[in-house]
Amino acid sequence: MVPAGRFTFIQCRELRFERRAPGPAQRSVQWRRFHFPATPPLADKIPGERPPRSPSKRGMGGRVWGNKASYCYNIMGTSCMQEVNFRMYLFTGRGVDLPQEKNPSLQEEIRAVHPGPLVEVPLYTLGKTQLELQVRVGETVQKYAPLAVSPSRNHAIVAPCTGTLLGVKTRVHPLLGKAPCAQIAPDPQEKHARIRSQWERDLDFEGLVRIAKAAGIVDECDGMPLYRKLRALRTNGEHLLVGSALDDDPYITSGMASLLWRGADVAKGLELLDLCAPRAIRLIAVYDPGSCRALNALPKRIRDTEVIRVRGKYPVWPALQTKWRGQKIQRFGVQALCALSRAVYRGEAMTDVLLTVAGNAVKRPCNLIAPVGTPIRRLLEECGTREYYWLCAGNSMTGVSIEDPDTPVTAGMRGIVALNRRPWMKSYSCIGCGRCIRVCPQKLMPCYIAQLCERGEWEEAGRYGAGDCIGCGACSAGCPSGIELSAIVGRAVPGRSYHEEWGKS
Amino acid sequence: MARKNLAPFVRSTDSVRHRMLDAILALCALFVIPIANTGPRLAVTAAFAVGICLLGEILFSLIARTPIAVTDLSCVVTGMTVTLLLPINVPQWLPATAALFATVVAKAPFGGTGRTPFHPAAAGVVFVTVCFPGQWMQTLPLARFPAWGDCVGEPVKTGARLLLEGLRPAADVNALVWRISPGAAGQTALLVLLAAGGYLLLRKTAGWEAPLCCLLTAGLAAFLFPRMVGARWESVVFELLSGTLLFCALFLAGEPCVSPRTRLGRCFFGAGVGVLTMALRRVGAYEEGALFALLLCNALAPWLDREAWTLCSKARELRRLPLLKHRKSGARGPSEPTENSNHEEGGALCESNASTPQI
Repeated sequence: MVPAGRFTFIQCRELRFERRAPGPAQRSVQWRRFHFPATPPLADKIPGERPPRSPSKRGMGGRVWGNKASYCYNIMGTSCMQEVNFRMYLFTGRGVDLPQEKNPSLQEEIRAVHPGPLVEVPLYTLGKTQLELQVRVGETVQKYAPLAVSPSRNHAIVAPCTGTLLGVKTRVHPLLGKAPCAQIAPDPQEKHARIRSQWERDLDFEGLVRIAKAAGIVDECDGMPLYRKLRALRTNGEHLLVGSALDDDPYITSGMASLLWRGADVAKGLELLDLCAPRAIRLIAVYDPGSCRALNALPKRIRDTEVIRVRGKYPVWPALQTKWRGQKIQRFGVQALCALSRAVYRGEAMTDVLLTVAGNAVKRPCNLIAPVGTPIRRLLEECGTREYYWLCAGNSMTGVSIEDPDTPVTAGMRGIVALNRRPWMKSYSCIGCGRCIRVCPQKLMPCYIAQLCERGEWEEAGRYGAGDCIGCGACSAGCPSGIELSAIVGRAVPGRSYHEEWGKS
Repeated sequence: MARKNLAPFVRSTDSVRHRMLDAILALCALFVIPIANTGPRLAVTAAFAVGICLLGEILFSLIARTPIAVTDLSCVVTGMTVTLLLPINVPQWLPATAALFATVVAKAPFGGTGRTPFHPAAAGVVFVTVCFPGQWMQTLPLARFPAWGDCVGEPVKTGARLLLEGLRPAADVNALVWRISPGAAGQTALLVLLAAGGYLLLRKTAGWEAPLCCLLTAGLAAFLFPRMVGARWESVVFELLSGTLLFCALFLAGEPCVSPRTRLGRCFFGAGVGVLTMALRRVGAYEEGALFALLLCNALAPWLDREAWTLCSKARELRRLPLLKHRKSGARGPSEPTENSNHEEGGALCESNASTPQI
């Protein structure tokens, strides 16, 4: 067998590592935000017991709305006394109100889908690392066996299903660019590869990073590989880690579905982040669209991690960041956390993706679990699709439209939205209503920046803060004239390409 | 027009035509009481003005060889506004001239709806005020006017005229609030005006900052520098209720295209309109100051936006300083994904296609 990178495993109960008590200077700074009582030894702490409430303390985020406060712990027994609300209302946040259509996809059961006759696994790397194919064309490859490995043996692409390798074809993928795709014909009989494992007593930070790299985990919130976020977490040391199931897109429900499917794994993944940020507070945040019955099925607490429900406008993450402005917070997608815990505890790579297939051109919108590389056509067949005008990968606000329905699914995708309605017929010129300014979460002036970009004055556009744009698309969504503000402003943002050549209709 | 397949694919259902329909509805409410009191003259004049606006736009598009775009109902709004800014008894060619000027000089050469630096209706009425002051200032007491043709009667001085001369207007406050008085047709009963303006504000077709700041500063200026001798509070009431100030503040100052787009900019804009109106009323020769003030402030609108944004961004920089101190205390990682914590889901696109992030 080819060495696939070292997977290290740990026994959960034997986890131990160093922790320092906060010094006097740190304690006085932290008192203003959250309060650390003297850390009791591990054996004395009974999980589930609430410490006495400390007097005269404002909770995190200032104003506390909604239900009465609850405390949250992390599993190590340090009680971080925080007032966190079970329901958070971000009514005063900036953003655009979108009509939510989440109920159809949540009513169906989450089911796994067979990928069909052909699976194309994109062998992409972030960078110029050349991957070497480990399997020859025509040979059988087993599930979880490495398909391609980088020369330094640090990064591996594993096969999502057992089958025969048919060949390698270069395909232009809307999300990844030009990437070679290994074509595998899946076998009906699934035979998993035996994973060589090395049992170690302690999992440390470097081990966790190695596992995340080898399992190829991609965070679906921002499309970054998880190991880079773990490294950044270690250096920056955020205080609050949010497991983000914030599906503020009208159609996507994959975050909620992940929590319903594998909630314990998500919580375990968050607990593993203790290795990077030892004293951080953990939360799972779910977007509450307002009229969603399925949300009642979510527990309020999963394995000692609070699940909070956030109501607000699109986009909701910048509004949360503004609300918790004094804290250092970082978010991790729930699917990435689930994959991390399964990689650590079971040695599985991230080969299954939970996607929402929804939109008004889909007959039976649902959440599907598909292996990486499944053609999107197979998912649409599973759900029954009518004639569609747009097919977008990702979510319907920041996704990319796909022309070829044989495009394979990648690891960081959260959903496929098929829309059959052209919501606006005519585009007018800007009437100066200022709606884009009101909804922009970064407080920019998209109408003016778009005017400058059309004229080609990039420095002036940068001076107006075009570099701060996060690409949420709220300005375009709110514009009554139908101007593509998000795309035009995106031209002025360094490092963002909108692939307009793929969008020609 | 072929539309590119660019995100976002979900849009709000608001559109320019909905906003114009809101404005038309609000303006229609102002026609009811004058028509009930003086006959159908106002409706006929309004229809005539709207027709002239439409003709003007079409003619200009034909001459300039641009596509004719009249489906956004902006010419209807311009025609109705021009009619409401002038008295009811003026000869019909006066609002028509104003409407023609508004369309052919103040709107179409700049690019049409959404590209005008100056408010078209205000520009038209100002042109007519300056060029034909005799016809404009002749206001008759309200009676049943003929639907077409000239009106006859003894001219009477409007409240604004009396204030200009330093006298107290004859009408008492009750009449000003509940009934219409001679003057601009849009200065109907106060409650109808407020209701129509409130409808526009609630539908968010116009912003609330400019009208509020305009009326507050105008009231303050009237209190501090009363034109009526000796009476401050009465001066505030009469100043606000006379002339086209109220109509201008509620319907013209909130117009999205010609006013600033940021909140703070709109506040400054409204304050400027109020202060300039009062100043022009004191030192100007015309009893009409609001429209001139509005046009002057329209010229300043982009600059006000820029200044407001600069002020706000400076304030934000100052507020971000404590957070920056936090970040600088930790060591920087090799790749700096703290900035990426602000990135939205579009990052999938930029991460994989950005140039060299190494594993």
